[in-house]
Amino acid sequence: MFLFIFIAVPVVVAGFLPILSRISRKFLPDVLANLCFVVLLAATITTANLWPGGGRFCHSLSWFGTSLNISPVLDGLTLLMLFTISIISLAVGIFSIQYIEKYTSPAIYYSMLLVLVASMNGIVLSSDLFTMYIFIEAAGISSYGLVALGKTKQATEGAFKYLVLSALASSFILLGIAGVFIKIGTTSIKEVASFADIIPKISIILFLAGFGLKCALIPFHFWMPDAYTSAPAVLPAMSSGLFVKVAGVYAMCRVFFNVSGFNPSVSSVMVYLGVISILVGALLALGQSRLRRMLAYSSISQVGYVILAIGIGTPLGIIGGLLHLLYHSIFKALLFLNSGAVEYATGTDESTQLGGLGANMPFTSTTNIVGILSAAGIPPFNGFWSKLIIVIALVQVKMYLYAFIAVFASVLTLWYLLLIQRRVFFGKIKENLKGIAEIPFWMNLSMVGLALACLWTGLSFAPLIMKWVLPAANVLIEGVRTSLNTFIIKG
Amino acid sequence: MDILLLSGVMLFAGLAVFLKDLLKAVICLMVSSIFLGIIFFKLSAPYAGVFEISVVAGLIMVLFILTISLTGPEDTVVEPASMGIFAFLFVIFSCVALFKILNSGVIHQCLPLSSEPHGFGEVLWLSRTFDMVGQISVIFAGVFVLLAIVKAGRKNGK
Amino acid sequence: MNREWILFFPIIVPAVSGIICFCIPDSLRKLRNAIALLSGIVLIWIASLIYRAGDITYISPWFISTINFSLKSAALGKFIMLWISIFSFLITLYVTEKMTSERLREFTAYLLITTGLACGAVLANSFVLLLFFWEGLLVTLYLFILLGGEHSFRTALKAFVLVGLCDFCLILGTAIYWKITGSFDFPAKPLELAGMSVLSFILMAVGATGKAGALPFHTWIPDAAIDAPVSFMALLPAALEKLLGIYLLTRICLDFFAINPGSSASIGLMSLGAITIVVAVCMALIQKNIKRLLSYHAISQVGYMIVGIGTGVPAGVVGGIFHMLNHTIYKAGLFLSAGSVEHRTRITDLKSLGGLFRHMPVTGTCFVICAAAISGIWPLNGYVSKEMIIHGSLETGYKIFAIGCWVGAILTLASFLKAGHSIFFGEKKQEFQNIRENNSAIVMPMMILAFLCIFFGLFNRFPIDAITRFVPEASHHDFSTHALNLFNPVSGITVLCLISAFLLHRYGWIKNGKKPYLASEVVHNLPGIKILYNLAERRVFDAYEQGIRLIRTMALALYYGFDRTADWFYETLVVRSGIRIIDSLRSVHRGLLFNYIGWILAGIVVIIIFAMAF
Repeated sequence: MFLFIFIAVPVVVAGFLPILSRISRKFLPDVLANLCFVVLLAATITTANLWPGGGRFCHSLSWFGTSLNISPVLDGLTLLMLFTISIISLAVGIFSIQYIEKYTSPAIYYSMLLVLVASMNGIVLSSDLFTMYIFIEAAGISSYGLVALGKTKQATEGAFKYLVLSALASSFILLGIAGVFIKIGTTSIKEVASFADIIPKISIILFLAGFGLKCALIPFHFWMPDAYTSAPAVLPAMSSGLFVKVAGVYAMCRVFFNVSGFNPSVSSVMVYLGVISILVGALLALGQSRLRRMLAYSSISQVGYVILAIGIGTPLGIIGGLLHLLYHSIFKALLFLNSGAVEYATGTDESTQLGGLGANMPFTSTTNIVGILSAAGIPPFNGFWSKLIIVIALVQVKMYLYAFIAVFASVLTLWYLLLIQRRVFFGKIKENLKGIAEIPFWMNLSMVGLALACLWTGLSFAPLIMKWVLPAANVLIEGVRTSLNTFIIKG
Repeated sequence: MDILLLSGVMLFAGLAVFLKDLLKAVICLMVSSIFLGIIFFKLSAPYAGVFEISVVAGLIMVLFILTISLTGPEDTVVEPASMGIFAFLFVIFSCVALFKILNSGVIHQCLPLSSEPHGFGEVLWLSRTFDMVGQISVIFAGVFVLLAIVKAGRKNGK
Repeated sequence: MNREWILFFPIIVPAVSGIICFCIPDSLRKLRNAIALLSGIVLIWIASLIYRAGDITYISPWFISTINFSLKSAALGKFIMLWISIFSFLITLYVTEKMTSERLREFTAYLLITTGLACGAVLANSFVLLLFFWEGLLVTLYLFILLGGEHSFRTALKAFVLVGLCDFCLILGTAIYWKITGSFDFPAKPLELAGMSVLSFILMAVGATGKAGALPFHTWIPDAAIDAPVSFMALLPAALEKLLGIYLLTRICLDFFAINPGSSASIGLMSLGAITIVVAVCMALIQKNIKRLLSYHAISQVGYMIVGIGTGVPAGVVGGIFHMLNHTIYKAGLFLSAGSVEHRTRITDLKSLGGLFRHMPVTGTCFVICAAAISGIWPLNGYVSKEMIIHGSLETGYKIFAIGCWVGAILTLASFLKAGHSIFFGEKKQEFQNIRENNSAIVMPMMILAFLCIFFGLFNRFPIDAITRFVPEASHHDFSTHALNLFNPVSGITVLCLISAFLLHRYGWIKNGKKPYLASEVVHNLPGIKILYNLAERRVFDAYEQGIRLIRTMALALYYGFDRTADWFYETLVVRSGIRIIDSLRSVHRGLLFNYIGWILAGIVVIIIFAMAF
């Protein structure tokens, strides 16, 4: 029963919210939804404390004696993803308490958010490829809804493109699953893994394309800037922080490490795509003047780091990639929420129209600096450790050029982020912005909480790695070991 | 016969994308779904066919047509040049993909379906219960999205 | 609660109360003072608890395999920590009265945070942790000096650069040490001096002695004496820096490296010490400002400590550590008295002061006692420790270091005779009619310190036994019974030096028209030495100043030679080509959906072709 609450609780609460909104339009949905997020976070931490440290934990549900065939499966990787999901969804939930009033009624919004969270939990807890697919669909639809909440024509256009490309991704994934089902006869992950060598190559490529579309690798990234630019800021925070990771990176890892086995061609494709994403994303971000579009390209770049690191296949690389996954969620969500705060206060996120906001919005400015320093990889914030481990892993396998590119892109990241910070927060304040006030309390609280999380996870990264990332990495390393007997593991 | 049905699906789907008049595009989509339903029947998946025709071709199409007739005519503009490139690439992609699929012999190695046909309800409820939860989430998601967009649309006055 | 967690308290308690005090506004000044004093008392209590307990260690893994977060209270460390807490409390008490409100808030905060960092530094059991706290002290040092006023910025920068350079040497030395031994923890066995470890030793010794204030990193201290508040001078250069710097030097010579008496390392250290003694005390002699005079003496006394520890023999090492302790006591006492005079008269210039003993008797007495202690007059604590150091240096067989010590003793006494005579004795000035003695908050710390000078002199058994326990090789020696013995050749020469100093002062005083502050002009105006003094006063020998001048010229040359050309390259190559690349990338992202889908399909085709190759 216990694991199932990750999916059941948000869905049930989401179902009740529209009805409850008749009673109390704002207060009850806010409280219920955020309570739900807190419960999820507590459940994740409790599960982690009960976690024996290895192996898979399968929980079969039973309804009055007859066993239902709902068996969520928990292993280290799942636990890491659940942790990421619960933290970011709590931060976004608190942020939206005052933010979402401008866009739609809180009840509907929270329902969509809860369904999104429930579907993402379902993706990571599922033990079957097809179940995973269905939850990916559900999550995609709810995130599409979140994108479409933006009111402008640009938002609708972006939402439309997002929907089309998302559907393309889903169809690729479904084709891949079909190929697997035809060949092997079942879609359960455990059983497919035992037949790993007869998975058709075309399925692997389709999976690569489909999940690549979901996690916005080059050349599958096109939906991201357009979708993020005009959507309410909570969507990019959820999507880039979570959905991209869960439906994209997590699914890719699950399929390529535990299901199909890790072979050198997949590894090299991941590495190449990763490094191209890093470079192109960073270069593109340099030319942007709109805050959110630039952050979208920056996300593409950072996810490239994750894919690059995991694609190497060495234990250190996998640890670095997973750590960067967790940390990127935190600081990218922080940066996106900050851009939302700026837009909330001033009405625009075009950086040429902004300037000198730091005096009136000290909290936002400071948390933005924290996010920028984390993203660029400056100690003692969290980005530094994950990027350091990735660079060390690259050097270990003698990919010096890639290590150099990784560091170079980090410098570029610092460059464009500082550029935006300077344009938006520092400098002289423009005439029409003189009366801007600091953002409301809950939005502030959420951003300050994320900024503190950046600092805390940076300082205590060692126990964090021990507790959350290492079991997850072990799952993937198992996959590497079982598929490549002669793979020499360094480090 | 199969080729006719398959090409019919693709033809009407393509028309649905490229037609400029919304109403005509929706009707083409409906026809394409009906063709798909017939294919399902031919592949001896009667339940899938029933669901496809009744839900997609029937219910949702009716909803769409209602919505469109209520909101008035609108224009869509598509740039001709990019479509050319897209068509070209699409053709190349399909050729390569077909080539790979046919070559890998996946089609010929289809495992036969198990001999005893499980009841549809059994399959859905007993062995794929988790998918049901997923489906519920999908339905919820769709409902909330519609609610949100409609409300947002009403706020805009569109 | 684990027993080991008590080790965190000396670090956290003052640091947290420092931050709290920083946030309390001036309107609640009494509350803030109460918190600061209370935390000082709590710290002393915790430090004494740790001192009396056995060795406590706390280790926890920090970075994946190599670095441990380990604290240990053992041997010398806990002894020093006890004294850090005592001094911190005394200065806190002093400062509540002495400083004005605007600066008091920041001063108290920095003081408490510095105390926490210093306790952390002596409790650290691994190089990484030690360096972490060491660097933190650098920051608070800078902040302290900045409190002095608008023009203190240059001195703060100078201090930061010089001490930062020392810290950098320390870091380099630590890195080499790690390369040799492979671990960041403090070693169980000292390393032999050979090859790279010699370089490591030199770098670390430079770091430690520079922090303590020896040549050539000393030039910021006299400047800070003018620009920074005098309570800061009493705290850092007088007390904490010596405690920490000499603590580190002791650990270097005893625990990290094996320094044998008579080896070249030992000779090197002793030479550095002797040169420091003589040069600094010569500079001190001619100063006309009491704060500058005291600061030069602080530098000079460090020389004694370095000589003591550099000897490598038990008498010298114990003497050096004891001298460090004594120096902190009497130097702090001297600075506090000077501050007390400044508080009432607002002057620190020897020329304008005079005859204050009648008006401020307590301050005057404390000053006299501490001055006597620093000059090494029997039976005060300075005498005991100096004798031990001189005995130790004679044991190494080289007489020259002892001679340096004796010259230092002459000039020290001469300069303090001049100072004391100028301030407290001599003719009274008219404007000081209404000067009264200071309040108890200022007077109490001075009295406690003066009392300790006497106590540690007469009953030197207590401190010496405590120190001897911490120096392994000295454990079976007994130094205290003969410490006050006047009837041996060494003490005879010392007494002779003291008498000659008295005569020198008297001669100078009479010769210069009975003006005490000109008493040292005799030495000042000696033929060859006058030129040297003038150059020194014009900072010709100040490495920092010369370095700054050199850097300015180099910067101009580099600017025109390299910077402009590099800039041109950057402008044409990087920026222009960057813009071209970015524009071409952006043209792909025009927003047309079919374009996007086309790119996606093209990408998949590429992957398929690529995968077919495998």
